[in-house]
Amino acid sequence: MYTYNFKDDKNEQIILPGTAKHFLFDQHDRSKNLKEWSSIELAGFRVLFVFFLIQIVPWHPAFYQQVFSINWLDPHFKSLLDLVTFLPELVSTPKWGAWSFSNWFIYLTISVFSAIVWGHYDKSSRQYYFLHYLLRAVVRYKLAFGLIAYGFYLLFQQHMPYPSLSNLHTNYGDLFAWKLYFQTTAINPAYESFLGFVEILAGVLILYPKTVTFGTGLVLGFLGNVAMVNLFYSVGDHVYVNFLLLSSAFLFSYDIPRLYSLLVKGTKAVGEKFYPLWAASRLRNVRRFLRAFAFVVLAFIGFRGYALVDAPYKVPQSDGIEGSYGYYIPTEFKLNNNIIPYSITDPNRWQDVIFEKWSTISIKINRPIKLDISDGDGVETSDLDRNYEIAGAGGRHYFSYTKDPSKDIIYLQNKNINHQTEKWNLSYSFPSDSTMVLEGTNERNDKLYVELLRIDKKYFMYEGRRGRIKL
Amino acid sequence: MSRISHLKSFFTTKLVSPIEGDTVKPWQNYQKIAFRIAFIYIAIMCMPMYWNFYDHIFSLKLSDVTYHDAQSIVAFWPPQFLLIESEEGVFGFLNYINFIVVLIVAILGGILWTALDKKRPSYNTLYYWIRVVARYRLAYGMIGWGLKKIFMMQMVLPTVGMLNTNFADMAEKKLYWGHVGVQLGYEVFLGFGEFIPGVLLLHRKTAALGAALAAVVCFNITLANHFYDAGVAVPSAYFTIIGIFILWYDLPRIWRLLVKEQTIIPINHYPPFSIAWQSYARTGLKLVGNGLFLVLATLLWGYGWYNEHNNYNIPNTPGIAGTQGYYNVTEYRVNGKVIPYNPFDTLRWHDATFERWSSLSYKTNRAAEVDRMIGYSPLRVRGNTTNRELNQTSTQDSNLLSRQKRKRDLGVTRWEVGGMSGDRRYFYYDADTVNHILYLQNKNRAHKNEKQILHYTRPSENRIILSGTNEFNDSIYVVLDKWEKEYPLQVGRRTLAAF
Repeated sequence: MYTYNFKDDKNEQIILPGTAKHFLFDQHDRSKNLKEWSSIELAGFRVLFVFFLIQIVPWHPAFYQQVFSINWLDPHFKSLLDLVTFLPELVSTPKWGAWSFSNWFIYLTISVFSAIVWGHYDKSSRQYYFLHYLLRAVVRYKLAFGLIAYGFYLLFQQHMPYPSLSNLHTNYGDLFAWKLYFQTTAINPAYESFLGFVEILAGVLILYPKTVTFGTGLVLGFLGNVAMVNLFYSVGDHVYVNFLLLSSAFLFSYDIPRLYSLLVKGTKAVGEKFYPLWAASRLRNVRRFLRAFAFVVLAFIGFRGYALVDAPYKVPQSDGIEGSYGYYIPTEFKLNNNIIPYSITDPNRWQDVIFEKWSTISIKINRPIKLDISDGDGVETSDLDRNYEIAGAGGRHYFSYTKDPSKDIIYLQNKNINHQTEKWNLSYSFPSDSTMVLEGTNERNDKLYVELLRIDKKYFMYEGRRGRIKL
Repeated sequence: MSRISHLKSFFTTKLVSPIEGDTVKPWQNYQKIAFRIAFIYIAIMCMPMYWNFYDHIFSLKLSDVTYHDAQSIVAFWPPQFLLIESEEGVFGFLNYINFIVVLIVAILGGILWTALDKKRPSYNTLYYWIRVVARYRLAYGMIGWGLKKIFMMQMVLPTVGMLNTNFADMAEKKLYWGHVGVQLGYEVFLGFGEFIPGVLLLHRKTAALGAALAAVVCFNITLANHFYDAGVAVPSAYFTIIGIFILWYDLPRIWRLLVKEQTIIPINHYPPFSIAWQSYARTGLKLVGNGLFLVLATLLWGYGWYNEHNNYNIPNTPGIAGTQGYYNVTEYRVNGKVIPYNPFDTLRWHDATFERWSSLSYKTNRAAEVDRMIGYSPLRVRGNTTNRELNQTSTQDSNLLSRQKRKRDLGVTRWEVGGMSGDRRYFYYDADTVNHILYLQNKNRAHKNEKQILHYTRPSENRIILSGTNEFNDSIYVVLDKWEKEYPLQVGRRTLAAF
């Protein structure tokens, strides 16, 4: 048997045998039964109930595939994030356009159909206060987990890692809009962290029933902006972001009538909300235990995110050639022993070269590139596959390299998934502090000989606008 | 009724309460003291406190009014009693010094007021009126800044020069403004994010929502301004403070309703406006204010957008038809001698761009003093700034130039030149299309003496040959071939293409 009460009522219980499910009572006016819902409210609730639960309850096998693919002794932050933000997909969808919401359309159809059947068999229920409470709780937790996990993603600067030197050396027009957006945010890591902090704050507010409206209010503004960024900059997370937005709107709507009375109409605003009576029942402890458990899990996720701070997972990890980091101009360039002079149009002549701190070099050559259209956010063990640096960035050719442990030779492979057949072997030497010579063969067995001069370049982005400066 | 009592009734408020017989509760002492301080603080903050503002209003000519005027009236800066011309004073924490000065004045005033006014039980009427002032000040400010974005003028599309410049060769502020400018639809959205709170603030009933939205939006803008050295952190923080002040009135109730879960019957104090002239005055003021700063401002911005000749970020002299684009420098001769391309060369052009408007840019390996004026500068309200090192204000005078019937385009540099590395030079040109001559002048104020006179021919649609004297009085001959480029930024990731 269910018993219900107001949370503030500590000692009293009213148990209504048999029909308890349909009764709650008003704190100040116990004589009255609860208001019945209109048939539209009842029908709408049934649809929403199914629509949310079908996406939140982990029924999909893919969810368990993800669970079991995680090494739980050493889980990766991104795998945990993917698990927390999991939404089941019945059909695979195109990434862009209205049809990327195909699963929503299917779930909505299912929800409407179930609601009709449910309504047909449940004619006696005149309100769903209890189910509404439960649904809100489930949606709150799904939302809060997503927000807080994403908050850590930003807080620890994993979502948008600091741009590589090559990315900074890319023409503005050669970046996809999403990349430009990420990069512009990432040049101020503290700002990115602040954005993460806002999400975490909102998530925590949502975990407490009393502050849900403040949390969702914050989130409606924040995620509304994120949804627009997704739309205009083609970021690609729009389905998930809109799910969060819908969840927030659903939670926020609970308090809209009260706020409307208070602020707009200036009339009596009813504050009581309906809670099941947890007092004097084991359920109360269950609820407390669940919330504590949620915080432990979230703290664990945060801890795993923090572990990545010094080694962003989207960025390759093995060190580059010692002392090679920098921006170079090839002062001499020979292809099969023929000198090719400086040129910005020649399809073979290197225009400039960048050695990253890690084992990537990028070269500017006037040869068309089929851009990597992925997000570059996968968890990859091999540096070749850590492709954030090339995702959405044109203008340069990126090569991942491995060093020969015994000789000064590097084995390079084009990082771009569309050009990965390009493999080069180059030996390297440093005739002086600022010069470097590369010699070897490219994928067509052409002989390459390149003399590089390191340039100490000043960048406006770093020099800033606080004083008179020549650049 | 005598005239005095007419006036008096204007300044009393009526209790608007759904409960019969409820009376006005006297305020606590601390509430009264806090109110006196807050009242003085907000009153000073909401008042334009520098002469430039009034000079500008009195020098307005109806025939000349543009969106510039609408904007400089609603976007006036917070008081600037003190001016600290150090780096910290312009970009850092000391920039907030005037907020503290006003607070000190308000506290002193509050103490004095407390000593003089001991009997009054409450300040419901004054509280109402200061909220009105704060609401309208914030509302028109938000609407102005919103319109600037709704009509896509604060940030505009990247120029050809910008598309072909390395990311890190731009100032942080330029990058921040730029990343909004690449998606104008997003800019419009951001504009509504300011415009809608502004409109909500115009109505008493929706003011709390408007104030909350405005405070959140402006707080984010404040932070972004600090992180990207964008220079308008203080004015945005100022809007944030006003927003919080307006919201403060309802915040305790919202807290009690939502967190304490209490049922609340709100008690509001509003002037009754029971006498005819009062309600006429109220309606009239509202009509004039909203007519000027909502309707007229929208029309002026809309006209500025429609009539592209008036966009403060974009020059309005058309370029030579069909030349817009990025060019390879196929041949370059100085005094008859061919110079091959070399990335270290400080004179030979590495590439060239033509814009839709009359602008030619080219890259060399020669540094220039950069134009740091990307948007407004925090100290611009004081005409007497002396520290030009930090506070470069003199380059953005297109409005002044156009009123003086001079070449306004030489003052429209904040988007094309401002915040961009100096190794790409941007020249304004006057084209003599009969004799095919370009008269060029460097747009960068620090290098405004660089002038060139170049004859041009177009043997084919994609080739331009320039010959004449450059800024060093050498004779040059340059062959430019258009490079048909597709930019990933413009094509986007939704369609597969090779670039």
